Amino acid sequence: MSAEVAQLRQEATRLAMAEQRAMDSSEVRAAIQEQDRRAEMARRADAKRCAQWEALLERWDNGDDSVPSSLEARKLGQCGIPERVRGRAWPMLIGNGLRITRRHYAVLCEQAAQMVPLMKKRQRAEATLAIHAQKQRRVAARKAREDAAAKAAFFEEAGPSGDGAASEGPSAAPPLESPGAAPPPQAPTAAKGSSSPPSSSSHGPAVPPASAAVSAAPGAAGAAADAPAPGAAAAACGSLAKRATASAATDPEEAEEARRVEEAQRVLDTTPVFGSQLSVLVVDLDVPRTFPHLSYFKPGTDMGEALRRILTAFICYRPDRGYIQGMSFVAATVLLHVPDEAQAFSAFANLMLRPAIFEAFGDGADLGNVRFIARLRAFARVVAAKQPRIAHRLHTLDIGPDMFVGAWSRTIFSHVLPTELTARIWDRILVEGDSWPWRVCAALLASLGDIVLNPKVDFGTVSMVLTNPSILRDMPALARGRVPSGGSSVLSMSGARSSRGGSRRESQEEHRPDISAPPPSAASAASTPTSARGSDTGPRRAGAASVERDEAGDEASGAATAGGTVAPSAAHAPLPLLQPTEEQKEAAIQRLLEAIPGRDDPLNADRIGRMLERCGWDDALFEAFTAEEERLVRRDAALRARSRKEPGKSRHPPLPGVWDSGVAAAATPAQASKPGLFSWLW
Amino acid sequence: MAAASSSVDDAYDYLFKLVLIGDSGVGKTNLLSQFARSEFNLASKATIGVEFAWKNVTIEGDVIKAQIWDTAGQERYRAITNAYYRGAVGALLVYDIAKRVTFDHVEAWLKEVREHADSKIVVMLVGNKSDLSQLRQVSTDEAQELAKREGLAFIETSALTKSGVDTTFSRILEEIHRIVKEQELDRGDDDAAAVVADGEAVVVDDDKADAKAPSGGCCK
Repeated sequence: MSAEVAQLRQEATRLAMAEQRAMDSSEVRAAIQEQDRRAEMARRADAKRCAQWEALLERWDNGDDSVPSSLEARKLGQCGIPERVRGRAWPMLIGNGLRITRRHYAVLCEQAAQMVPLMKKRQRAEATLAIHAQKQRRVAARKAREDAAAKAAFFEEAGPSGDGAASEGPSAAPPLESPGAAPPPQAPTAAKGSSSPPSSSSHGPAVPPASAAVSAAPGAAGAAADAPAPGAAAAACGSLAKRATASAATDPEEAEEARRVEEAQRVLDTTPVFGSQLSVLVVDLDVPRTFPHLSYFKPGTDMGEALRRILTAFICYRPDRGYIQGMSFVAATVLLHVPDEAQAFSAFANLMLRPAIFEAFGDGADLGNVRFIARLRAFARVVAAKQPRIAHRLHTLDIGPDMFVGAWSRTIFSHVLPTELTARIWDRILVEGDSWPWRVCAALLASLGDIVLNPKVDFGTVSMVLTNPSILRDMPALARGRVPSGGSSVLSMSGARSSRGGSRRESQEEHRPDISAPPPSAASAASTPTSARGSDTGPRRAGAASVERDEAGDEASGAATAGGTVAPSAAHAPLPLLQPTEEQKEAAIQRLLEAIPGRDDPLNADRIGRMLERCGWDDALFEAFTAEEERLVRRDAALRARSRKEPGKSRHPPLPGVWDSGVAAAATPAQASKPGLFSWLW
Repeated sequence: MAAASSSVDDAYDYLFKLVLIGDSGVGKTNLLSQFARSEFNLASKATIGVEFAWKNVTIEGDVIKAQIWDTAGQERYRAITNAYYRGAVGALLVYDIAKRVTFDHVEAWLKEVREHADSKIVVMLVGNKSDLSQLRQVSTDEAQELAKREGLAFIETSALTKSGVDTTFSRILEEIHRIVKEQELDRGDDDAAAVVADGEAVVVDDDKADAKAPSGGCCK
């Protein structure tokens, strides 16, 4: 084994040296010059675009309102907005339909500054009451157990007839028993009924304190859990607090507890919650968790504070929506490019209330609103019609659009893509209009097509890539097979991966998600020396790989295990020695030429741009499907609600899948035998 | 999640889908990263959609591929998680022992699980952040009581110190494994072998065995 490792290492060194030679040859030097020339051209083009944007922005500053929707802006925006002018171009393109002024933002900030501590105080008060209620409930439960034990003892003495009743719980218990005997499992349901209409939580003096605690306490917990009914919770707690004060007689500890409960109750009574104001608590949680790798938004940093102010101000602006997770990424993306805070807020708020984004964040109560679900389903159907292979694959893997497209569109890609790519995509969306987030979703899906369609990539990897495409940045091999230089890095890179795997039946695993093996098209461009020599060693390489894999086993030879994918071919192929081959030169040139456009990188902005045209997106079709699906989803929701009311019935069947509908007929054998309509894409 | 790379090349006897649920910020993502790749990140990225990780675990000689789903915790995200629960055989219901409100919401989460998931799903109550004992707002007894009342397994963990993390996952996986084994005995081993060969999720509920086939959630 170790001999093989040594051989592999030696081989890798040779390849690296050959590679170096290839780099020194004159053709390659010419390619480097060509690369420089292109870079220079790109620089000039950028400068020109900057000047053009400056001109547009100046016109807009001077009051020309037609600029944002002008053909000129659109054309310019299609090629991406230069970083330098983005901070001013975005607010212009987003517009300010809401007429948010600096003063307005300042007022909102003041309001937020007052509201935040109140909400925190309220949450603490709720916790105090919940803990107290829990305590009371436990005391009551203990008492109930004691009572029940006493009762059982009594019935045992009296005769066997009482046994059944005692074990069946309160419903079967003799009516004369005090309600305090209710064992815990029955208590919540009973208490909920009494606490939901505030007035009905009657607390007549005749009821012994312990039993009242039993009925009130779980009710408070239940109502608190169903957050939309704070009134009920408050009412339940109210009775509780009074009782606590009443029963707190002598014990100083109890008196202190009662005082705290009363105080908490007072806070609850005097701090009303409007809409989703309580979501400020989630803002605190999420600000440091927004783009943590950039560390711009750490607690206490200027950017972090600005982000917090923007989000809490938005809660004050639209308390009905409040803060919804995902918004922080949108606001942070704005803030990263628009340095002026008030302007950033205005851009963020206007963006949030654009129809497409507005509906993506639901209608306030929850995110499962009919419109957005219909959108997701319609999206899947358009993909099924235009990119049937991908749709079919996702159907086979059982990956629904709600698993990934929801997060893509809701955060306008900011959560799932590298920030610089998000910015490029925003440039385009902002100049093109509202249906564009969906079109970009389709394009991004198309761009990820090589990975999705790769039969070696399994459910886990596909869903991981779809839910978080930026992970491809950490997995260049999966994304493209882009290797810096020579075979050695291939070795070490995949070695590190496989050696951690240590699976016991590696050799028989046919369909494993081979992260280190690039997808087909990427492989062709993967300009490692091995692939350049590929053709003559093909069959042998496969044989070598399987042998290698069998032998590798669990031994510590990380490099050899890694060989399962690339290296063994190197070990058994004819050695190119130190003279670079024509193919190697070719590969080196190719790599240099491709270095800028990143042709096969699924997350390359230009590639996604091309996919925008090729993904065959059809707005009219999308709208038509949306209307259809909306009816379907609405009916389904109604049926679901009805079946919930009749608990005896079996569960309502789910809506049919969407990836296959519409192409169900087309994707049958006929489709499989001849190349699919869009197979030229891949 | 970069988790996958640690166990991409795997063969397994069973695939168990677990879901992580619980309020925002209780540490679901860190529990997962601690389990899957022994990582803890004080400032991990907020989870918005659904994220995954998986890890192979050996139980009684069987290789179990635990596929764990992690999602956003905010209340409003609850309604869009149909696909999330589909095929799940276990759920870890996480709360933060230092934040009362997350425990008060446990019952609402349970309701959610029982409504959307398979009726025989194994649920485990997990009190996370046990390292913050000086800030504790939820006593162990209290949580234990709730778990007993609702028929859940219960454990306290710290994703920060990794205490209890492996136990959590191995306990729930062992429990599921036990149920599945029992079920296999009931219906004969042939079926089970077929299920495993397909690499499909093993569904705990016999009646719902057809759930293996793509059956469609709300927007599949």
